[in-house]
Amino acid sequence: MIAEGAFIEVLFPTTEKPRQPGLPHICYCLAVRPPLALVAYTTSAPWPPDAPLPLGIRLFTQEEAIALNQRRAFRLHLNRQARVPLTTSWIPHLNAPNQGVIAVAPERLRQELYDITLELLRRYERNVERLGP
Amino acid sequence: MGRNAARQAITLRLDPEQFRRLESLARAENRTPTNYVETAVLRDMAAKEETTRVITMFVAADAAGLVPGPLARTQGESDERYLERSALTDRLFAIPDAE
Repeated sequence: MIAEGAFIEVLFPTTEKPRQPGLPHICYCLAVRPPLALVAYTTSAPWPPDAPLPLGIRLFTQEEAIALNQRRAFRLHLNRQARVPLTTSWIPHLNAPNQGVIAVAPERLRQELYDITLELLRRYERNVERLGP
Repeated sequence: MGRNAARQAITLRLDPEQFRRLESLARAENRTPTNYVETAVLRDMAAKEETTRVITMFVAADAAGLVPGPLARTQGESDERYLERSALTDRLFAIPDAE
């Protein structure tokens, strides 16, 4: 079932249309608080070679991807999140018996991703305090 | 004023072989070559902007008015971890939409 640690397909919004269902991406579920879910974006597209990798991006090798029932190496953007309703318009396989869960991160990985998210949040809140929302 | 009136046009020159590849890639995504290039540039710019942001939060239009309920527990989760995660998600859910 969808909960923290699950990888699920979500129609993650695009930069061009940030409030509407976008393209299908496998996302990492950070939290479920019905009627909402908080998910983080993943992509297998290459990162621009001259752009530094910011905090919040976790690279997964092909071996790690396969262990999570995914075919290709990918990167997880914990710094790119979406709050979406728990509906099939955002989570297309929600009504499937397993709610479309592709894999569940093992405990150690969940803790690693939790720690990164916590550090991101601390930095975000420091910036808001310093610069304003 | 039309959508294009305020938009800046640029000239892009490609070798014929590169243009053929561009056409082929664009066709595969049901895009025009111009739209393909525009989308690729916007994505690259967004990736570079992302390096300067800490968290980008998208809030679905149909989520804006919804109040998040209690956090769903994960299997076998201890009370201590559940409380920690609840506090974390309270703070994450308070982040406003990136727009």
